[in-house]
Parts: sequence; C-alpha cells; structure tokens
Amino acid sequence: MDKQEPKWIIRWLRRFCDQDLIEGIEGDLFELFELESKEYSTSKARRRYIWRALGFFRAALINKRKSITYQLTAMIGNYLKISIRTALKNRTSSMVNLLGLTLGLTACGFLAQYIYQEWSYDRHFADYDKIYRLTLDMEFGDEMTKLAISPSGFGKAVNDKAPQVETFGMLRRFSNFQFKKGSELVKTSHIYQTEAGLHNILNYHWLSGDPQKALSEPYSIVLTQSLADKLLTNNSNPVGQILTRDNEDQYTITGIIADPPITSHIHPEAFISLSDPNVVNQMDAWRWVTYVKVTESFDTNKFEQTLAEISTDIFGDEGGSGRGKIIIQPEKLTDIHFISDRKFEMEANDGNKIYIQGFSILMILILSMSIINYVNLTTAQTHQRLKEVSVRKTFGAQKKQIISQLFFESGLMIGISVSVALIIIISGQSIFQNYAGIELSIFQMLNWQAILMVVAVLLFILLFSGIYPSLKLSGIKAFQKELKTKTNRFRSVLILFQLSLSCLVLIGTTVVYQQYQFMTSQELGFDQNQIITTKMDDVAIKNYWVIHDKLMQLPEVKAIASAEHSPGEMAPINNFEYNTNDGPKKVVCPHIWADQHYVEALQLNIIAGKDFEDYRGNDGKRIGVLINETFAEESGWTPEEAVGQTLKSGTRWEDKIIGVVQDFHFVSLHHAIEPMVIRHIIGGRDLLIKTASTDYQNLMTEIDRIWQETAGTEQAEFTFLDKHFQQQYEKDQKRAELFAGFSFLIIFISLAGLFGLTTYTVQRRLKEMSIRKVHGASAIQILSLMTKEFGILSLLAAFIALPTAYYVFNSWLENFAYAINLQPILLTLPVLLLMLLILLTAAIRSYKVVQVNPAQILRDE
Amino acid sequence: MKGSQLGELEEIILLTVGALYDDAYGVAVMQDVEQRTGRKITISTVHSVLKRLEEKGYCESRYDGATNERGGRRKHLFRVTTAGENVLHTSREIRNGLWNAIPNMAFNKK
Repeated sequence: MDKQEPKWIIRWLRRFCDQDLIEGIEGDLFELFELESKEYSTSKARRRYIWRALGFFRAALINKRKSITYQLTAMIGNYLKISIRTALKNRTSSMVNLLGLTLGLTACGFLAQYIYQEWSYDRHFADYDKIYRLTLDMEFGDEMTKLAISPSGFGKAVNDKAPQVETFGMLRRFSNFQFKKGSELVKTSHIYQTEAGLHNILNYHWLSGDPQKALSEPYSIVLTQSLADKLLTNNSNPVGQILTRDNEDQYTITGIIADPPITSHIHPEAFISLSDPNVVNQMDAWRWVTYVKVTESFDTNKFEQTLAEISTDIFGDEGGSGRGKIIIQPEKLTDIHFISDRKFEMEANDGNKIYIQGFSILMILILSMSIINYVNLTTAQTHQRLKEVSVRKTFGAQKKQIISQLFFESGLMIGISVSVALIIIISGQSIFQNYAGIELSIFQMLNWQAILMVVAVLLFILLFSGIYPSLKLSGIKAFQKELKTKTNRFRSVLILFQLSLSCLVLIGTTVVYQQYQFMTSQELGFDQNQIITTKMDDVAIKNYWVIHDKLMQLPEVKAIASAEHSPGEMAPINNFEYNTNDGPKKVVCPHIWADQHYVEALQLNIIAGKDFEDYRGNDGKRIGVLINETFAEESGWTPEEAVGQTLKSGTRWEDKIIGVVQDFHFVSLHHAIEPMVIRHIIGGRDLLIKTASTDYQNLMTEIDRIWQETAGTEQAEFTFLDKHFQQQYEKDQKRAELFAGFSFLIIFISLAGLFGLTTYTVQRRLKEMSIRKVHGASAIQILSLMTKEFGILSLLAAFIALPTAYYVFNSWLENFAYAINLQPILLTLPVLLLMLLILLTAAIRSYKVVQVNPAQILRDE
Repeated sequence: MKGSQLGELEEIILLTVGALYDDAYGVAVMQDVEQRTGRKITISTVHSVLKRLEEKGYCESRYDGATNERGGRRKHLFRVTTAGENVLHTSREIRNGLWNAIPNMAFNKK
C-alpha cells in the first residue's frame, strides 16, 4: 500500500513520550490510519492522524522521567553545573580565558565596522561592478602624467565606438558656487555638472522629480535634501522653484535626491545640467570625468584593446601640441576610493588598500590569538578533567556525549564572551565612531550577509576551540591515568606561534609609529607656523593692494603675500622647455603663481640669484621666474648656473630664471619633491598673512575690520596653514593610533594567555616544587625552573620574528617617499621588551610557588 | 486515598477492558466504548485513562502479538487486576445499594 502515514509527527512524539508506551500508541495510530484511509481520502486520513497524534502530547503521557527530552534537559543542567564548577575552581585562568576572548571579539567587532565602511565605498550604486571611470595616461616626453579628467566629448565618443559600452556619464566639479537666499549668500563646494544620463550611471535615490528627464534642459538643478533644506525657505514643493546664483544665473529645481551615503568617491550637494548640450561633441574642454557602464558580455582584455584603438582614433598617435601618446585607463568604480591618486581628481581619495589589508590581517590575528588562548588553556586543563571523564565513562557515557559536553562548555564560554562583547560594542559605539571617523551606523551595516558572516565566524571559533579538547578527552579509556599524547608539544607550537606574532606586531607598531613621527616632524622646507590664509573673491582681488597696505600697518603682521595655490594644495602641471648643450630639453612639473612677498611669507631660502622685484603692475610683465633646487639638479645645472637660463612653455611664453629656492614640500610629505617653477603674478586667489604674534584674537578682529572696510561684501573665512597641513596627517594619525591600539591588544591577549597557562603549571607542579624547596632549592632556582619553558619559547619566537619583521617592514617602508631607516635597535628593542614582559608574567604567577609553605602542600602525602 | 476513586469514564473503560478480556488495547477499547455507549472518545483519551488506571493498580499491561496490520508494532494489551475487580465490585455494590434505597414512589410518580 502506498498510503503513508506522516512519520515526522511520530518521530517528534517519540522524543517527548514515555518510552514504555510509545509502541502501543504508534500501533494504535497506525491501525486507525489504515482503517480511515479506506474510508476517507489519504490526505484526510493523514490530517486526522496528525490531529490524533497531537492529542498524545497531553501532559499525562509525557512522562517526564522517561522521555528523551527530559533526559536531555537534565543532562544540559548537569553540564552547566559542571562547567560552572570547573570555571570557579580555576577562577584566574577562566577569567583570563573569558577576558581574552571577549576583548578579541570586541576588537573584531570594531575593526569589522571600519573595514566594512571602507569596503562599501560606491557599492550602493546599482551595477557598481559594471561601472568604470575612464582616465587618461598622457605621455609628455619621457614622463607619464596620470589624469583623472578627460575632454568633454570623450564619453560620447567612447560610447559610440565601443560595443562593450552600454552608456556613459560625465561629471565636472564646481568647488565654489554661491546661491542667493534672500539677501544672504549660501556657499557650496560640491556642485557637479552632468549630462542628462546621470541616473543611468549613478542611480541616486530620487525623492521627487523625474530622474530620466530632470537634467535634460539647460539651467536645471537637482538638489540633495540637505542643500534644499539650507537653500529653500518654502520646502514643501521644491520642484519648479527657481534658484539664483551669485552671478545672477537662474536655475530651475527639477528634482530632489536623498542625501547620498558618505561612502562614495564624490559627495555631491547638487547636480546642474549642461548649459550647452553640445559640449558632449567637443574635444577641447578638459575638465570632465568620464564614466561608462559596460554590457553584460564584457571582457576586460577585449575592452582594453578597443580602448587603445579608440584612443588612437580620438587623440591620434602622437596626440599633438607637445604631448605624446594617450592611453585610456579604465578604473573600476569601487576601486576609485582606494587606488586613484591622479592629477585633477574631483575629490581627494583617501582610501588606502594597504590599511584595509592591514586591518583585516590584524582582525584575523586577534581572532586567532583568542582561539589559541582558548585551546591552550583548555588543553592545559585536560589533566584535571581526566578523572571526571573517567567517572563519566565508567557510568556509561558514550564518546558522543563526552564530545557534546565539551562542545557545550566551549559554546557556553563563547556565548558569555559574545554577550559581553556585544554589550561593550553597543555601549562604546558612539565613541568609536567618533574616533575612527565611521559615519555609517551599526544598523546600516547589519544586513543578512553580515549577520551570516558573524554567525559563521562564531561557529568557526566554536569548532576550533572545542575540537581539540573534546577529541583528546573523549578518546581516553575509563581507567586511564595519564594522557599519553603530545599535548605539551602541540601547546608549545601554539605558544611559539603566538609569541612570534606578538613580537612581529610589536615591532610593526614601533616601525609604523616611528614612520608617522618622522613624517610629521619632517622639515617642510618652509615655515608653516603663524600663517593665516584665506581665499579672496573678485572684490578683494581688485582691492588687493589696498588690503595689503592696510594689513601691513598692523604691528602683528610681518608679511602678506598673494598667490595662486598655497602650500598643501595640488599644484597644476605644466611643461617647460630649456636649452642645454645637447639641445632643447623638456620637463613636466608643477608650477605655481605667486607675488613678490611669497618667499618672504613662507620664509623660503633663496640659495642662488634673487627674489622677485617689487613690481605691482598687473600687466603680465615678465620679471623672471624662480625654480627649486630639484629643478636645477635635474637639468644638470648648479644653482648658480641655473640663474639666467631661459625657460619656455608652449610657443608664446618664455622667461628668465632669476633665482633658485631651497627645496620645500609643497603638497605634503606623502609626495616626493618634484621640480617646481614659481611664476610671478599679482592678484592670486590665495592670501597668506605671516604674523609675528600668536595673539590671534586681537589680530583677527583687526583683520575682519579691514576686510569689511575694503573688500566689502562678506567676511572671509580664515584658516591656519599649519592646521591645514596637520589635516593631511589626521587620517594617518588615526590609523596609526588604531593600529597601535589593536596591536597592544594582541600582545595583551597573548600575555594574558601565558598568565593563565602559568597558573595551571603552578597548580600541577606545586608538589614537585615543594619537594624541591624542602631539599633546599632557592627562590631563584624555582623561578628559573618555572619560567624556563617560556624563556626558551620567547627566544625562539624572537629568532622567527626578527628576520620576518625586517623583510616585511622594509618592503612596507618602500611605499613612502620619505621613510625611516630600519635600524637594528628599532627591531631588537621591542623584542627585548616583550621577552622581559613574558618572563615577568610567568615569574609573577610562579612566585606563588615560592611563597607557599611546603609543609602545607606535602602534609597529605 | 486520593486517586483510588473511580471516575465515570474510568469505570466504563475498566469495564470494557474486562469485557474484551484478552484483546483489550487502545483501538479496541475505543471502538467498544463507542459501540456500547455511543460516546465518541479520542484514542489519546483512552490511552491516558488506561495509563491512569494502571498507575492506580486496577489494570496491568503487556506487549504482545505483533501483526502486519499495525505496521509491525505489538499491541499494548490490558487486563483487569484483582484490585480492579474489587473496585468494580465496590462500585457496583454502592450503586446497587443506592438503587435499593430508592423508594418505588420516587420513579413512578407520573
């Protein structure tokens, strides 16, 4: 008969039911089922069967003492009791064990957030894996200039010619855009211009307006919610309202998008449409960043080939106007945040894959340290548990049950650790977020994948920490007195691993910290202190000399300079030509524009020739240029020879070198010093005020007063140059500190582990040491006996760690333009320190043996 | 003693067990009760009553007679013990006594 009774319900019933009754019940249910399946349809008979079976779950039949479930809960109760008793018996080591695991998990929780935020950059866009940014590598002579920007017609040209490209998008940033709100001016710094198809590439979340049509008309603007809140007085129906820019251009609001997540390489405040739709066909405006979306059937190699062909097509083989071949470089959208450091990036990309990798490795290290600790401490316990397991076995415990008991214990420990770690993470969340600059909330990160991963990691820890002790203990015979295993050697290997890693991490922290110190304390080559800067608007530039002279009358002001580009900014690139004995030579290098007080304000050293003459005319008269030392060096001149040479650029410009300044770090210490040219200009946008005093409060009111008198319109925003420079290192500093913090955590965890292990050793060898003492062993002898093992292990660890550290950190330092030397002291000092700590940890714990009265220990024997 | 009292359903089922003599198991009891009294009771009720009766010592049980009909499971068979017999007798005597005590007048009032 193919009619089947539902078996699952019976299986379930069996767990709860008195084992003596179940057979009769099953038989009766079956008999009735057979009867009814003749009478009714099978499905009805099955339904009635289930219903009947459910009836048996009534209390009377669930004999508590005889059902499997009851036995199981009773067993778990027993396990719990034993676990707690074992933990209390070894209070110190249990605490150490829990502490290590909890700290480890907490640290991982925090680290994971940091890694997740960095990783999630630009992944909120749909099809992020199909979007590429097309950048250009441009050859100038023998130098390659990597540009983020491309001509305005580039995107469309690629779109038309490459079959792999589905659609394109282009962006151009305006960093100074002011809107009128009544009589007030609202400044914005992230306005992006785009063509109509933006939504097909970067799909923002539109709150109102039609994403497909919003940007097709000239002078349309799409605001982010926060800018709309700032700009509009009546916010209820923004679409259709008109915004006026400071130059009286009028923009119609055609849409509102939700504030985009900060985890993106651009942070738009608004998008404006093309004022002339025709620019997508033009090739002369090089201000645009081009994106393409590729089709499903996309192949990287083929794509690059097509791009090479297109490059020749668009730019020609030689490019023309002094430049060489142009190579199109596609960059994955998700990589931009990490790798892209090109000229004319729209916004600085401060992501750093090395740090992400570093932190990921750190996280894995912390986890493995915690696990190793746990395994070590548990295996050390095995001797104590031998008796318990033997008794269990004698009373008929099966191997499976012993294993499940030990896994239960591991699970319990991990459960406690996880709960405590969670409490710490949640309560410390806001502090950490502030500190590490994490702007995603923890709930934004908790999607199901993240939860799945956390669960997987926890299961992994459970498996790893439970498997060794349970296999070792479950395999023993009931009357075995000693564990004939290689537990000790295994443990030694784990400790060695742990100590080597600690050494490595400590050296690493020292090196990273030293490098950071080195970078921030480096001489920039100019005096960045006591310089106030601001950006001047057109009115201020027109009245520049009035402002200059008035400010100079203040006793606190030492010098005032104006320039296009102040230190800390990326300088634009230009190509210069000069004549040598071997004919004309070309160099591509940054150049800045400055007036005659620039050298004075920054206190640059002129090592040959002289400074600009005091010429106030704004007619572009050629009064000579300054170059830096590196420029002279690369050209093969001594500074003295360089003075008087002629520089040419393009066909129209040429000027004489009148002076050479000592090298200075214009951008930051991340960048190597390049050749640089300083050209003369009056009325640059940057104003630099060198002050004599540090009493800024008084000075600032004076400056503000003069500013309002002469420049009129608005109050300028002043910043301090040294602060501006400091900001460049802020993220570095945070990372270095985070790194150091977590590294010390690793060391702490492993030391805590050793502490716990020593506790066990002390317990085990108490008798032995007491006998030794009775026979006259001194405190020193006993201590050295107790700490010998760790001493040898830490020596071995040092031998493993030192060469590894040397290799790893030497190659790491190669990433920096200016790096410290890896001196032996830098490597050995941390190791010695760590060894001292290890021995101290072991000795402190072992001192208990020295203190104890041997008579008390030995009197039972 | 608490629990030595026989409930009404208990009494009926104990009597049925006696009546079925050597074939008193769950389904048979259920069907017999249904036939004789017209009362529909569920199989789980039968089992729990039987279990209660066994705990009170009024019947005893054994497993016997595996058949294919029951998917190879043996029947859980019940038999009335002496104590069970006694309690049934007592119960009957109480009733008989009560019957006898009823004056004829009481039921023939009409």
